[in-house]
Amino acid sequence: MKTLALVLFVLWPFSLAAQENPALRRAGAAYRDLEYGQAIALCKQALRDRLRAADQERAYEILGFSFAALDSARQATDAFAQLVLLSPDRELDPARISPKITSLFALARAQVLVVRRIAVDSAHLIAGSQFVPVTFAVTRAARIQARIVGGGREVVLDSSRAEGTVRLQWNGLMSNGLPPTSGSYRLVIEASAGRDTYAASVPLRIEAGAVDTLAHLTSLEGYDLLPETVIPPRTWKPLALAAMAAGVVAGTSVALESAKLGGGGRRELLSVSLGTVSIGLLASLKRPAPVPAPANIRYNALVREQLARRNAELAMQNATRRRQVQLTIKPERRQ
Amino acid sequence: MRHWLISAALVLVAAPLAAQRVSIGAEGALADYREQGAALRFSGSGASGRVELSMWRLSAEARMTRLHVDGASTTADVTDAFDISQGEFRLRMQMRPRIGVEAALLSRKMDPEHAAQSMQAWRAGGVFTQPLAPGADLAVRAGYLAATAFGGGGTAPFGFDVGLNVSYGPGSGRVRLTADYEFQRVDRRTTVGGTRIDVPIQSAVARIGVAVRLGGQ
Repeated sequence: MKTLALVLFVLWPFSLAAQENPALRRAGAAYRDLEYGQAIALCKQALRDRLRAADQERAYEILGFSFAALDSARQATDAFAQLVLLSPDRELDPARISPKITSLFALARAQVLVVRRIAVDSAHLIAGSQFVPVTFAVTRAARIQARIVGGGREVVLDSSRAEGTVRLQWNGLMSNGLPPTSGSYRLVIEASAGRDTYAASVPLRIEAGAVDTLAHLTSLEGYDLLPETVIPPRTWKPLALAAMAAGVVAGTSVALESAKLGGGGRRELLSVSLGTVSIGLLASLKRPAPVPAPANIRYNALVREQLARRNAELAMQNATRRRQVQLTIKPERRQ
Repeated sequence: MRHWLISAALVLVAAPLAAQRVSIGAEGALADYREQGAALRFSGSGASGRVELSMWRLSAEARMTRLHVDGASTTADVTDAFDISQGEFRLRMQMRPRIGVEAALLSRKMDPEHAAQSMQAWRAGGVFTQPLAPGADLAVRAGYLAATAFGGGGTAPFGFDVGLNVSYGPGSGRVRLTADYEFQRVDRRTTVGGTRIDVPIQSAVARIGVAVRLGGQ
């Protein structure tokens, strides 16, 4: 018994500086001094006063801890039940708190009906096409109804019996089938089980805007266009062709010369033949002209065809997107 | 001849301008002219100008060459210098990318008129063109000379023309260096005092110059 009290004392999780109510402050001091009876009396006295919500939570916590220390399980559970109702998300660290106390706390939580750990992630979604997840936990089997309300409209996300962790999705549309306008909304979750009811809400900020359209593609990633012409290697073919042409013409001219008119005097032939060979040499030394690359041309045609097809698909998607609404959902701090 | 040139020019000018390509050239010319026998051999030089209009697969070229020749044989002292005015109008059609056919009207006149044989003839033949490199082209042509008429009379059952043309244009190829060789042999026959004699004519002209291309690609 003393060991348990010592552990509770060492692991006492509260900050005394934040306690304003004098009776509550004295209750904390009595608990540290292992004067559990006095701590219980002071807490009850404090609870008869008008306490802030945070002080009420502390008062019921000290009560629960003190009753647990005195082995008053039922009263400890009642105090923890009040604590859970005031602070549904409150958790006790099992690594630091006695299992006796945490088990009593868990028992108390199972007895009350609360909705805990409500989570709505910040999200961007296209109304009607995408979903934003909503999760929460119900401590007991209950009929739950989750709604989003605001701007004079509402939509029911789910209405069914559930227990434990519940995962819902919202498609961004209100009950009239239209996306919400920009403004402040609330996610309201109501739970009812027999005569017990519980309601919790989370404020949401929703911004409605136009959906970004997709840019047309100018290239396909990983499929770059290839050069449609290639420069062939340098060749001496032009020089050979020029020399051959000059030789053919010179040979024909000489062969056609009339024997009666005499020979010699071929400066005209020699000058043009020399010029022809010179130009053949220049053409051989010149950088070759690019020539078409049929394989690359066919490949580029396929890539361009795919690009055109993809852009046609994007155009269709953009036509749809221009009719859609982009929602930005951001949970706000709870009041 | 003049009427032919004017008519052809009118027809070509009427064609769509976008499809036309005009090339204008100026050349220096060297000439070797021989007729009748080894004693009548002349050589000289001169100038030549040409205009060519290309359109689709057709091209037309008008060329005028003016040469001054002097005796070049060992007995040159018995020959006088004279001028040769040589005109040519040619039509060519490309049958295949490298093979074309052509027809031309040739005219050669002498000044003084009786210094040598004036001549007029039709030429029909073919041409083989071969691009050597971007801006460098080669053409070899051969043609038969027909319907030949001479200032001094006579006939020519055989006449042949061989040519070689090469051009080179650095850069865009609009301005080109050109070299052209033309060899003609005409086996003229005439009758003197009831005796038929052979008086062959042979000429070789080399032209080297510059051509500028206007319009087209």
